[in-house]
Amino acid sequence: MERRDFLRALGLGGASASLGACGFTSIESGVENVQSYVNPEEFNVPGVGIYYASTCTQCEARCGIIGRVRDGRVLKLEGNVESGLSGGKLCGLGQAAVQHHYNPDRLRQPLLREGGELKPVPLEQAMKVLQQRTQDPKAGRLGLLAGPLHGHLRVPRGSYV
Amino acid sequence: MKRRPFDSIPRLVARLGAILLSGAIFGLIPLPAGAGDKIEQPIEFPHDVHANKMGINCMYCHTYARRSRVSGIPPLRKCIGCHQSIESVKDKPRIKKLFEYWEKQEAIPFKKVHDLPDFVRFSHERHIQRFYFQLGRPVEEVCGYCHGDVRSMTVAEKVMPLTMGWCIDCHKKDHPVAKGSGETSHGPNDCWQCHK
Repeated sequence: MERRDFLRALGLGGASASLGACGFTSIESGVENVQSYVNPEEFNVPGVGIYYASTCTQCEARCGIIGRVRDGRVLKLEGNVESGLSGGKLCGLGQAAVQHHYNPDRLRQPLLREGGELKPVPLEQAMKVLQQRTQDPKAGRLGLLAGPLHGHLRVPRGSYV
Repeated sequence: MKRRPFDSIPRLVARLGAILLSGAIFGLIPLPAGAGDKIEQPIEFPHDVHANKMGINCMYCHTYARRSRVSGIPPLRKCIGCHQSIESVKDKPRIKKLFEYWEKQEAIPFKKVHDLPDFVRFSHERHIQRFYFQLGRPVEEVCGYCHGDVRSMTVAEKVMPLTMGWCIDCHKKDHPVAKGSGETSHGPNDCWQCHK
């Protein structure tokens, strides 16, 4: 009888729990915060996407892109039709570029490899390590792994490394 | 003699009650903010003063209602825009708190009162464009149908269930298509219009 009682209780509990939510779909009322701004631009309307023209930085090609931004978050990238380079197309690498914002494995802070593991470190410490390693005459060779750098970002790479 | 489940109805009811009670206590059964629950906000914004006493149109502050899916909590700049020149209430505690947020350039963390589930697509723009701009109904009627008589409230309170059945009830009614026209239509009643 114990088992039947248990199953009965389970069934009754489950049924009443699901039925209890009937008629009150706004079960989160009063829980979440509303998105509101302090001093937004006039063209920024909550809930409506703004389309910005920009350049994809995923490879050397630098295709023109149009990004849809809603409530301050970029949601989708598409090729810019007016870009002579890509003619409105965007490859998979470009589509994946939004992952810089959303992928859980994205870099959010400086990481230092210690004992085979990457550990988050404050920026000052990371800069200090970089300084020590580059200035050490016995350091040997230095490798720099970076995305394609252009313009003013490329200058430090050329000058100091 | 075997004990049968319905031998003792009171015991059954007691068990059911215990399940529901414990469910509610442990948060398994959500106790929803039903009609009338007053949700506490960081600043107790008095809609009665602004909408009733001052006669300000809803869409002066909730300006995005006519062009977006959300009506929008006004940006802090909207409040400061008027209140920077209103001497009579400058020293009231709520106004002082307002200006504190402005000094810090921090948005007031209001709690969402009329929250629909994420699988529901509700567009304020379509409803405001139809009932306010096209049919010319007064704003307190248009907004008040779902949000209640806001002019009598301080902070917003949920007074309508906002359930699917309730929305469909209105969608079933035949409304005039344009002011003065004899044509009527009812709101969309296919699933994908709201559950995109």
